[in-house]
Amino acid sequence: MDVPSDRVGVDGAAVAPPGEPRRPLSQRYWRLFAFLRDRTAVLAAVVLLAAALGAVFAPWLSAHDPYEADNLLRFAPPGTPGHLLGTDQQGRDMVARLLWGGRVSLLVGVVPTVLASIIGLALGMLAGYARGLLDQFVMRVLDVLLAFPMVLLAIAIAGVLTPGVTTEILAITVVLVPYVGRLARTATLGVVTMPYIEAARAAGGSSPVILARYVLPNVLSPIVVYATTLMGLMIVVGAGLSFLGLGVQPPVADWGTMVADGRVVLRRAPHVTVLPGVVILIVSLAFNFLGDGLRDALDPRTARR
Amino acid sequence: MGKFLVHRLLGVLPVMFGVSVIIFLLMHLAPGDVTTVLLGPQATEAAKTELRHALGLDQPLPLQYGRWLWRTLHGDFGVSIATQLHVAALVLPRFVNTMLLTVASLFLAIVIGYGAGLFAALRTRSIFDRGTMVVTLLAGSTPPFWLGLILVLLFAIRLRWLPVSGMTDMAGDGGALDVLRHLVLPAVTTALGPAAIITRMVRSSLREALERPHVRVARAKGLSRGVLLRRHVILNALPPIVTITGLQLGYLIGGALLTEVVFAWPGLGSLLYDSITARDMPAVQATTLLIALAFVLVNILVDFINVLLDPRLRDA
Amino acid sequence: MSRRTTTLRAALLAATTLALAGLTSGVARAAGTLVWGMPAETDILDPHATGGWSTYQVTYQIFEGLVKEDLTKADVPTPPLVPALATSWEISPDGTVYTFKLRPGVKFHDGTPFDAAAVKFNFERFWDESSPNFYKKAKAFVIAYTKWIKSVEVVDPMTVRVTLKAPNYQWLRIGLQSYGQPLMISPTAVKKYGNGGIALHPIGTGPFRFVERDQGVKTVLERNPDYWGRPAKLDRIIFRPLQDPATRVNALENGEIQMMSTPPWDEIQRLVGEGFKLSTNANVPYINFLHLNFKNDAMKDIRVRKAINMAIDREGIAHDIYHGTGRAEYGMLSPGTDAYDPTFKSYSYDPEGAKKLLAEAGHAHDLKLVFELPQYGTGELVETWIQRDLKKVGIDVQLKKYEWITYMGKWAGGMPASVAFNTIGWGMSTPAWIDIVSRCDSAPPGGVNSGWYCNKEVDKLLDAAILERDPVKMKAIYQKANRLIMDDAAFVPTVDDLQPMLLSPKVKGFVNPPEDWFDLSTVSVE
Repeated sequence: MDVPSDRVGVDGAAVAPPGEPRRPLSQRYWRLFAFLRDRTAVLAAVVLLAAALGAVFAPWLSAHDPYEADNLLRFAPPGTPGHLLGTDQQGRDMVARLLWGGRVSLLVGVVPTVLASIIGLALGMLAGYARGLLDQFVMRVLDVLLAFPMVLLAIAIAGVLTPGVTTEILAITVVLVPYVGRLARTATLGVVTMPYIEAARAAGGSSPVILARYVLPNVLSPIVVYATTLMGLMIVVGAGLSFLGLGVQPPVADWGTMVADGRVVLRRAPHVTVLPGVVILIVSLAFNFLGDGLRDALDPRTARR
Repeated sequence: MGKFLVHRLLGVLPVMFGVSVIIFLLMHLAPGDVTTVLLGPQATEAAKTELRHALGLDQPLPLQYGRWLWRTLHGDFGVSIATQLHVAALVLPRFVNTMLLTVASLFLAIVIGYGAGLFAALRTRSIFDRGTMVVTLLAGSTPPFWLGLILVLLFAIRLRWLPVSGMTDMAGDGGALDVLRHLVLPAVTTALGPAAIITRMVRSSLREALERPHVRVARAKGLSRGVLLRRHVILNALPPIVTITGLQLGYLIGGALLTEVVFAWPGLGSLLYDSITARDMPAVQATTLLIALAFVLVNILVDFINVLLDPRLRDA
Repeated sequence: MSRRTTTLRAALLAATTLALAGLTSGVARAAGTLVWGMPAETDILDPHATGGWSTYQVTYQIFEGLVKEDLTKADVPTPPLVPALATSWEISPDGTVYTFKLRPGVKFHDGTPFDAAAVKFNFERFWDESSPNFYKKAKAFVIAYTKWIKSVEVVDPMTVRVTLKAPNYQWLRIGLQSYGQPLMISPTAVKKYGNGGIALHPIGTGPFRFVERDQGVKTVLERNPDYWGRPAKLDRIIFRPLQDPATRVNALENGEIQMMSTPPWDEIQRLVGEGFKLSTNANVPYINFLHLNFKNDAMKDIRVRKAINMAIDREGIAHDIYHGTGRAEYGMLSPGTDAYDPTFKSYSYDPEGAKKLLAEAGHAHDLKLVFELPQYGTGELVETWIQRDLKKVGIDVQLKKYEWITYMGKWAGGMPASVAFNTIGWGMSTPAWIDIVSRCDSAPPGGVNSGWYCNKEVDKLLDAAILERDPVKMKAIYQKANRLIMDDAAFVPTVDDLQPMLLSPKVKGFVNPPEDWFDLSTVSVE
């Protein structure tokens, strides 16, 4: 797969050596406040909310059916009466396509990332907390997954299930797990040596309790940050899979597929491929800035000066 | 230190074994029959059965895997089902091509990423910082098959400076310069994504290092900026940067399939894709193992460098 | 097989040579070099053990059979069969004995003389299981040709006699269309390189000889200076697989290739405007069609099958999607055959009529059908058009797109009851091709009658057709079978592809014949 994202690494906060203990989870209000002060992050959140709302309410927002084609109006440029952003190579309304496309793109961006984060978090924390053989075993399994061709995975899953969004989500999830897992383990390693964990142990706290109450809150922040970055990238990964015929089924198109299909007619009608490309850019940027904002808000060490 | 290396290198074997087993199983899970691929729609069932037998595909799975493993352990990667070439002869040239592209892209990504990241970190929240972040994020969020096309239109079609596709001019005079000309666009296309990630990484870990108490103290003592950076900041910030650079290297070796397709660059990515779609088990296995090996070795190298930088990580 | 076959493979170069070639060597810029950008890498170059149009496009230049199709004429309904390595052949009155007089003085590219022994050797390789020269894989490929053979004898050094088990007047043509082709390979080469080695050392008698192959990058041929016929004009042909259509277009514009197949439809007009030449042929022997599934409950009703045929606006697809490089098709005989009737119409576009039929069948609004298709990489323009047309008459079509090999398995294996129809583009220049997709005994797994269509009347006609020596009567029988098949509405023929090729203005003498491959010996590049 040609998706930088499927081999993307961890973001800054993630692998950074653990420093002083972080604020306990109770200071939520301060964090919310810090986040709201970050105008870029708030703007990013607003953009994403708008994209999500656009996708959810697509049927009410667009005057056209995204699959209905007007053959007399193929490649109509933006500004054509009745078609604000023009039409595509089949004469389908671009506004409608973009709104509906968001349903799949956002789904493919968010769901695998969340799933992989949960699984990766569990594995990474377990490995980092237990250490020893279990750690070795989990990490080697993650190494195996890391070296995995996503295309093969997608073909195999599509064979067992059926090609479509589910296949796409499953394949991307499996590919993402080792990245989140590694990150979670590194973060856990930094936490478990902290005095307060020792103290909790000495006080007779059981492992599940310690993991849930003390480790998780401290590991969660880098994962959340990382995951928001991944969400933007996964939209592009999904496009790669669709490009190879393993993703969404026509006539449904996600933004990535719109870019891929439209690139052949780039010279003739640039808007067909440029518009969805720009949407992907904006949404990716928003996910990234949201991630930065969350990091700053969640992690006092990088708080604003 | 030696123990660390030995320990990690020993870990390579089970990983390779695991990769090969799972690839093997997945290939069997994948629908579509290699005999249909090879014999076409008019083949009789008898012919298909015969071919399956000739290829050893009618044997129980564990036996098939065992045979493959035995041959591989003896250095025989077999013959590619689809191309009838020895797998080594098929995979190695692709590996060389991929390395060429990888090294060039990584070089670009490091130059851009480290440079932009450093300046952005030193001027946090300045226009330059924000500008750099936006530009790198933009480049990193662009689908590469699309970015590649735009670059081709501009530099190959409009300006006619660079070629569109391939590694050499088909009817031309060849030579190193020719390859270099063909390398520019694919290298830039593949470099921008990793460059964006590295830039972000460099910026954020440098920023964090700059905020550390001892750096603040050193700064208060009036240490010059250059000395401060060299002695206290960069060294501390390096481990995550090295880690991320390593992950990017691993990704590039895995082959940037769509970039390869767009530029007709004959690398491992497209070979792997072709082999998978042809259900060419020996070729898929060899390619995946090579990619996995490269990935694992790069990770070990990265961990090793990090241990050198910070011995406390040794047992982590 | 479909021209969009995405088989990509086969090569020559040893491990390091590639990198070295790039860095040190260089090919002198030859005056007459044609670089052809193709959508897929060709299969191995052993004509007995491979199949697929993109491969024939290469092997036709290197190898010849006893008989060949003359591909130097564009304006014929079907390529005439002409003497190649046989100067003449006689068919016995009962139609079972073929006596070939061989062409004297022909040498294979490696210098081996071509004679009856060489012919015998080749038949042994792909047919005679008792011979030490037999190659199982070859037989599996050439089966459509060899299953008719009873015996092969050398009469004298320049005469060979082939006896068939039963008469079949399409047999010679089938040989050139069968998945593997019975072309003549140098026996010396087979002995020297082994059966598998021919893939990498293709040595025939054709106007071009093999130079080198770099897997996934290029296949290079050069002119055979000792060719027995009119020598080729080009010095070299370089076949380049360029999967991405946008890359092919850019390479053409930049002069890196001089010829491209399967241009993106929406780009043709612009490129022609920029001076590139478009070449098409109205009689290409393949059609695009849907197999309708007779195991599917809804499709068992002939009214539904007819309604689907009537609901699809073929002319619209040809005009708006193919931009004139396609033609609406109403029957199952491919255009490049003797039997084709361009005036044949089965079901004209009639959405109102379709609605009526559906209502009669009790499916006024509620019909939901599954349509399986392969990933072509063309953005599914035609398939989504069909989906929209059917929606207009009240049928909800769900598209299921599969990666190519997965699809091949599903298509060749026959549709399960849950699937209503699937699609393929296929055909041959013999009308006997229709047997493969429509006979009762062609149902999977024995054949690729993917929709399980079965009409004994049709089978009887098809049986009679291959026994008919008179081309006029033969034509009538096939046309009758075609009429029956379409009366049953067993398939939905959609739009023929006119095989658009884009050429640089420097390319002269290119002929786009009624076939899926070309004779490049007439081409020159200025």
